[in-house]
Amino acid sequence: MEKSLEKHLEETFKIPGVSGIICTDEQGLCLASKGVSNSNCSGSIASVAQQAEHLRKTSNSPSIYIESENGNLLIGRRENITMAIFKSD
Amino acid sequence: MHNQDRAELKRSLFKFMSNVEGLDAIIVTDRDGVVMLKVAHESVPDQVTRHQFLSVFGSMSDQASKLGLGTNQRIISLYDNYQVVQINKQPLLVTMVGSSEANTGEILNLEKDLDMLFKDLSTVIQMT
Repeated sequence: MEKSLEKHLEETFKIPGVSGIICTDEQGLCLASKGVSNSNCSGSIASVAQQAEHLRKTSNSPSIYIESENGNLLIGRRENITMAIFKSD
Repeated sequence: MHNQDRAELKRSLFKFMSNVEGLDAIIVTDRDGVVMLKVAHESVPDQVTRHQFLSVFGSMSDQASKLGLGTNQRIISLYDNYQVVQINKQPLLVTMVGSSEANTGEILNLEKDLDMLFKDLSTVIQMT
């Protein structure tokens, strides 16, 4: 059932600079993850995406880019799926 | 347990509960469903804070542990308007009740925060 999703994650993970990727549902439960991403952070990732939508009403959910010492994180939400890509420096 | 310690623990529990939007109650019980600690918003249905409801998880967890997958750790129950997340932390059981739209992943993440609390309470239960 999840083969298609795993395949997409696999392809995205091959992109240079991507160190991890995680996909969550609207309840913050991890659907799939790869690389450095920890399935335990699925709740926080979904929450960040949901909270960002409150900041400004737009037709599309905003993309969120988080920069930190150990790398960067790109979060996007479409319909009920939130995806986060961990990027190494 | 001293009243002061209990008040301190309740304050911590309340803080954890407030960190998750839509989470309405955190109840810590022993294996038989006897309430050790409880924080709850007024909006939470009465029955979920009672022994009759809370004690069911102990039996559910025992049965779930017989499915050949090892000891049951958590059970998540999703209803129309509510969700109930229950965690087996022998000898304690933790029941968290929230709205159906609350972030289940964040509720599950609270387990890490609650671990320190569990150590103290578990010692008290084992001594009695």
